[in-house]
Amino acid sequence: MSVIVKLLSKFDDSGIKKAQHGFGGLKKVLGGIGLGLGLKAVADVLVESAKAASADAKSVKLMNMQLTKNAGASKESLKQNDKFIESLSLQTGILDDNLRPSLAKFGNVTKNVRQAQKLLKLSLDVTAGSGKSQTKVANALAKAYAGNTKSLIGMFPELKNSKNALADLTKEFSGAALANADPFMRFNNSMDILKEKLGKLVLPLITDFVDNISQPGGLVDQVGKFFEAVGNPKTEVGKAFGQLKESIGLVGKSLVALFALMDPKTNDSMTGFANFISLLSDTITFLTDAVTGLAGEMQALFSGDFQRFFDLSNSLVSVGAEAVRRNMSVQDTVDALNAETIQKGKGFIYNNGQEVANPNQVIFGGKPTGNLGSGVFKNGQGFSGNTTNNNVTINVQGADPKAVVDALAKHVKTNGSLPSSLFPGIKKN
Amino acid sequence: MAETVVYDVKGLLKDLAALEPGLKKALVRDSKAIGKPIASVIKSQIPTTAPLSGMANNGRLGWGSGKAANSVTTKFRSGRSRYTAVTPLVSVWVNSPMTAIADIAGKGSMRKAKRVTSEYAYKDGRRRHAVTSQGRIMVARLKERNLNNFVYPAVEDRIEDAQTAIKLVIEKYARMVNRKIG
Repeated sequence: MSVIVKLLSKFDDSGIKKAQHGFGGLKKVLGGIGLGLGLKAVADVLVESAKAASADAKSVKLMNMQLTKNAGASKESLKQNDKFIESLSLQTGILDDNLRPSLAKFGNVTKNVRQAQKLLKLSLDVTAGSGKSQTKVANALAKAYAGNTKSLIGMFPELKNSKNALADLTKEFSGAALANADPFMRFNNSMDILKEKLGKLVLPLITDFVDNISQPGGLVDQVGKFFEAVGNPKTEVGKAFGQLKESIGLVGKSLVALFALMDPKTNDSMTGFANFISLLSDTITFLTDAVTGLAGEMQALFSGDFQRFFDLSNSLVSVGAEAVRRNMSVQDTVDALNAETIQKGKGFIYNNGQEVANPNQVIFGGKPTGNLGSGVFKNGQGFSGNTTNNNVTINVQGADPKAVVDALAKHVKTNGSLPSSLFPGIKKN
Repeated sequence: MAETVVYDVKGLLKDLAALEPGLKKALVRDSKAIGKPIASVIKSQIPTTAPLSGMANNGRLGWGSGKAANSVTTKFRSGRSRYTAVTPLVSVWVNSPMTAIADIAGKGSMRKAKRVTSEYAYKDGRRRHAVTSQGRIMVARLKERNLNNFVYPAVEDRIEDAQTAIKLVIEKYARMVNRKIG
């Protein structure tokens, strides 16, 4: 135990990156057996696994051939040897593809699979314990086993007086490979081995598939003939393909014409496209409001609030949706929306959830032009209006013009005065 | 004090070694030299005799047994950790275990982690024992005599300056590499 006072720290995430790589491998393997990845990703992993298995099979084949020829290995011992390589690779974090050539080399010298395995283990221990290159250590050990200890002594001069260099090395470095194994390399390695195992399942299927499609009259043959026919304008398929090419050229021109049709005033495709987008946006807003309102109605119905259900059903789609979004009653929402319209000086005026005026008819700021149309104020009073030469004429139905004046006066009280040019005939009460 | 972190020191050391033999060593030596005054301050703060009578023994945790009680070293470590991305580059180590125990005594929550220890080998069999109040008494005695928490308070105000100085050293050597590459 010690107390450590840090003076300056450094950032080096290479170890963490290795771990992330390992977890990526885990995700891939899990995906390969159908957990958590899409179909394309699964297919990619299966192909990758099959590739790894194919490379692995090649390396195993080479090693087995050498062990059979040089060390007289039987089928049983080859099987056992495979397991030995796999477990050694898992324990030490060294790739099995790197272990096999060394084992084959030791098999050559020792003429015995078990002895070769012992030497391989020793070479890994010595490499881990001394930091020297594994290939160099393996070569020196192989020579030393055959009686030539010169290169081994060159590497470890202390063995000069040793009577049994290999035994002394075993004593010195035994277990070093396991003790120094990098956990992240071991993790990556185990993921690779899993991938190879998965690939071993897929590889026969791929081999069968390839055999199948490449036989005479198979898929490759047929598809090849089809492509030849497509390239030849004299064939039926070739002619059809030529027509398709022309159609594709026309599509671009047709789109421009289509968008121009959407703006009949200027026949301009850009304005037409803008109109199209605006229409699309309005439609989406309407649909969103409708769904929101419907959800509110269902909620009210299931919670037994029939009054709210009827209010929402009878109101405009936009008002109903707003009432749901604001979690307010329809009446309160109408009051709030009308107050906002008066505040902004422009917008909709609603009466019991129903729109009674369009934006042009209710403008409390700016200069209105043309016919103001007709509508009903919140208090139930109807109105119609018109503008001529900066004069605004508002006819209030029900012979009560005071209702309009009252409404505007209320607005002035809370929001300040109205522009005099807009309503020259109306005076504050 | 916010932790300051430097990046790619390993790459810099590699480039320095490639640039000129000995430059890498010089960087390490210069960086460690900045930590040495801090180490000597800490050294001066460590009691020469055991703060409590029970610590004066020749056992594994005796005061000054094995490692001298005031053994303080400055270390430069460029290697990475397998578990965290940020690790100390230059640090000052108080090496004696009993000195470290005396220093950190009372800094924890003083809550018993367990009432009984885990099972362990003892003579011919295995046994476990109750966690006693020895530790609490040790902490109380050390606090009474003001002989705990002596490392950090002594050097706290120097750490920031040391940090800046080490960063300057690193920048100096980084400039050498850049000049050569440029």
